[in-house]
Amino acid sequence: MLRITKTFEDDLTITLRLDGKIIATTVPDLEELCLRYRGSPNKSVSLDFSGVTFIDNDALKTLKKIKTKGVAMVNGSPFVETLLNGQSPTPKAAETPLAGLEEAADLDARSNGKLKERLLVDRLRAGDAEAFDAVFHQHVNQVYRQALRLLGNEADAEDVVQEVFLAVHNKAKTFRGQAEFSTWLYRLTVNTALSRLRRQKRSKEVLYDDYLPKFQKDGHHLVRPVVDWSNDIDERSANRELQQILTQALNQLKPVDKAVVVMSDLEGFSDREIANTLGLSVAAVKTRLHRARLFLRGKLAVHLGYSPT
Amino acid sequence: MARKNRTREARHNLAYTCKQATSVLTEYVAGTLAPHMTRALENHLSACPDCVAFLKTYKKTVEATRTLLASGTFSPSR
Repeated sequence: MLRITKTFEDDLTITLRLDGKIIATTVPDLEELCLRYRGSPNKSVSLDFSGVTFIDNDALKTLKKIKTKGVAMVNGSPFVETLLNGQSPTPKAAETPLAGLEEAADLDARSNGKLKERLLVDRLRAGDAEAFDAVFHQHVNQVYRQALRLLGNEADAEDVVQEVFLAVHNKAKTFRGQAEFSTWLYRLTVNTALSRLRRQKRSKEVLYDDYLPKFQKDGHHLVRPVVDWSNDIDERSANRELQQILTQALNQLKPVDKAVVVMSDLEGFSDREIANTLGLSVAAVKTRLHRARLFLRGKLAVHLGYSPT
Repeated sequence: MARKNRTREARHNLAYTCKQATSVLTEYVAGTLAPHMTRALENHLSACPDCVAFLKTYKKTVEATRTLLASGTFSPSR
């Protein structure tokens, strides 16, 4: 929801403070208000972005259009300023390192890197806008790639990048330095992406049970003999159809299970690291990974014409 | 002491069912399964062609998933 509050008005100026999310469904009201006030002779309109928590891509296009009509946009976070000035939150080359970090030059490379990061984060926590800018440019590529792996499409990944860096801007003071900043940022990225996945329609999630192995009371496989179809995969492993089936199956996993599989099988994280990032126990990670793999196996079996059990 | 030895022996002689064998495959494939459980699983595999076939297809699934994810062609959708 977007709250628009008139915080100042005189003969020449009107200021509207914005609080909340500016998204495709809320931006039309804002656009209409701006055009209505701009219609008054000699009146300038100023939008105060200090309470804005999120801007989606569609809303951004409308805001840029509003800006071209002479509406001023003030008090946005450095990240919001970057968006409004036409710079994409998607991968960009790192900027020149922040001035003032040269004192770390005497240490070895690894210690140097850690000290630089600590100094940068200290300045970020103190509200230094340049420090935020440096953090953004140093980490935006990584955040984008991580979000893209979990969400799969560029538009969603860009939205997550925005949410993450707005959260960095708003929550930097809460970072206590117990973990490395990059670890904190990674957890924030994964959890933001997962939240987005959970909010999306779940119509494609299927019951795992239909694809999990089943057993008789004595513990033997229910359907025997179990067929070894692994060689069929060898012949078809480059097959586009097989890739599509596996992609579809991965997308049918529950969001957290998909995150576990991606973090384990693509990014090579240990069970402990996955548990810490997702707020799960190690046992829960192992269980989820196992069930997800059994599900994927069952889906492949069915596609190849065999029983999943 | 005798009780401890009997417990250790019981663990070494652990016999798995197919259901139990299937439940430990993730750790077995990762190489993190405890030694006595690995022995029990491999004892079972030596006598169960169904579970040997299941393990092969399980490993192949893991391999295909890693290949797909690493290829960059995986595009999760909503």
